[in-house]
Amino acid sequence: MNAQTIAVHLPDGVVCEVPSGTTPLEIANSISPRLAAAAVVARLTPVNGAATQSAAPDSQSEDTMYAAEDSAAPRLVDLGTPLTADTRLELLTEKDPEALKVVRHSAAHVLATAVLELFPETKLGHGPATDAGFFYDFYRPTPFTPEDLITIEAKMKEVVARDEPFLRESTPRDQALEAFARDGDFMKTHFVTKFTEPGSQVSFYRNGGFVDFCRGPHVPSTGRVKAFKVLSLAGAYWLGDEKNPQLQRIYGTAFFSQKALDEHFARLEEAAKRDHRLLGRQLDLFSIQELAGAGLVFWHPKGGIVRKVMEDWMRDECLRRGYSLVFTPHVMRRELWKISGHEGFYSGNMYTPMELDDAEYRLKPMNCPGHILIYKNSPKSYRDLPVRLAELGNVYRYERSGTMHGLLRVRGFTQDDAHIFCTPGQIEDEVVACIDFAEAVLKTFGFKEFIVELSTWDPNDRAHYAGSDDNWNLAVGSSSAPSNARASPTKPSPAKPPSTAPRSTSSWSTYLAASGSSPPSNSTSTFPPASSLNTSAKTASAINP
Amino acid sequence: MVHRALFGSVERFFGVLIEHYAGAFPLWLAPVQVGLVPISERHHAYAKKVDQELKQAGLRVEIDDRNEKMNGKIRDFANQKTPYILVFGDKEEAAGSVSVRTRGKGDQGSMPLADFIAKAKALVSSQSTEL
Repeated sequence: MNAQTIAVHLPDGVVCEVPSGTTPLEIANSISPRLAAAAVVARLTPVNGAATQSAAPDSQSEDTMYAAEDSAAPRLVDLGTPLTADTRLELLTEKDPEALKVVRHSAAHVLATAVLELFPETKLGHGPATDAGFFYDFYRPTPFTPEDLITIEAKMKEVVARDEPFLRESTPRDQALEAFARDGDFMKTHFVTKFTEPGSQVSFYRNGGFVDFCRGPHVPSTGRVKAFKVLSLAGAYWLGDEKNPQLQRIYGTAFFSQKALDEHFARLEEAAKRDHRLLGRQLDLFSIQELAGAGLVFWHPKGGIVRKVMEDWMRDECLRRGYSLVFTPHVMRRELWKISGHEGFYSGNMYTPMELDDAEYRLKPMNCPGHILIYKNSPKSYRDLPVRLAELGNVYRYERSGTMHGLLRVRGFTQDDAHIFCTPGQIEDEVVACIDFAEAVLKTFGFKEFIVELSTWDPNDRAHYAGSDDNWNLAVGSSSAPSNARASPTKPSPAKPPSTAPRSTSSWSTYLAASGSSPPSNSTSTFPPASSLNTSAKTASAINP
Repeated sequence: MVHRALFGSVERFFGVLIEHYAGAFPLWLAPVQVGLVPISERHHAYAKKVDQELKQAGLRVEIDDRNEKMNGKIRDFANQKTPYILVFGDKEEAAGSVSVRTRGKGDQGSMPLADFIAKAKALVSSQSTEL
């Protein structure tokens, strides 16, 4: 192959030999003009790397918006990007979920274009795509009004109608910083300084008269932003710090068709009708009362009877499956929390200590130390194992004010908690039984589809994982086999540090996902072997469920 | 030690259940499983009898004996997403039957009270999501 020719590997196995500098759009056109018209963006994967889907990045963070990419990973590029090396090429159409993120990011640029045309004194922050749409942060002395949003949306329609191509440009970093400093673009100055290397070229995207520092990619032109809506306005502090200027964040959403946009709003409407806070009031199930405190739940008679049915089922099922039921105190001496390690690792999530007579007490955030005290209270032999202790235990955890959400994020709740003390050889059977139990819970309560995830550990990040390598290997090994043996797909991934044990999680999605809450889940964690638990050092490893 | 929480948080799981079912709980979980609507005041004695029999069968029952129109009472139970609404007047009282309105299915006509109880008990004990 001569130096001016590159090999482009297409998904169907065909390899095109094209001159270096050929763009994905040109290749698409050579395959079929219809494909070229349908393509939104291209995915390139280095030929030597595996052609895997890239993990969806957390698109809301500035880091993923601007940071340099791993050169071996698949990446999305504009259809107009000249290809200069051998590569795998996939052309993403409007059906691809990743393409949706791209058009939403382009919609954010259209929004910023409209805002600058209407309010030229505005300074730009950042404007990423999100799971539900997009936003852009703006700084200006006078806040936007709801009427402004209507005007802005109308102007966006003009920008789309102009069908301006999104063009990638690059500028030496020094020149870019100079220009931003001159114009008082303090936020862009920050992003360029933070996310690009001195001496490098900085990429910009231009559509018509609008230019934005941006890594891309974008749809080919503003005309491809066909269905969008400006939704709302919120305040946000620059860099999340309340000492900084307050920015105005305009939210919107975008889809490839009006139909998809309409369906999105229909789903939101359905989710709003199903909002448990609304239904909780309408059906008189529960309340949360300002006088008593945020995040503390009152179960009314009608909610109370449902809870009784749920709890009866759970307790009966625990007994049937060989658990013993226990009850432990809600407050326990601070000394215990020091020994358990919660004082050190979990204090920020606990209510502050209270004094009584000569000792300090703390509300329990977890049931583990209580169950371990019961286990330790009498000598055990191997023949006693496994010991399975279960409790519907009330725990109290601090959540930041303003973060509470109905029954989903609270400061006091009831865990259907259990701890199984067993020999290393029994772990696998116990994990199998736990996963079977978890499935029984989901099926009984009407959840038919769910995924099982196994959180393991990252041996390269040793400092953030408690316990010895041997115990991790034992626990991961005994949890993986049963998790994989289930019919449901199991996705292993390192647990978020700090972590004390591998954890198998089943989660299921409901309309909650549409309302922006994280899906609920149940979990099973395997801690180091029970035989070594009656030392305080090992007790400390039972920190996190 | 294996640590497990299956509801996770009972509160959170309840919140999820409410949204999953949009408040229309399956029979075994519904706070009020059967709503009783006597057509007029002279059917209140029969309502008491039906109420007792259902309760003896372990069902959760609520009588609406307000001096309101039948349709208003039915609507109120329906708004509470009550799985079954039993309506009865002279005809049902004479036959020892009830007229059954099933959530999501509407008027199912009348059936002997004993048959309704047997059906409801079976659905509760099997934790069925059907009505």
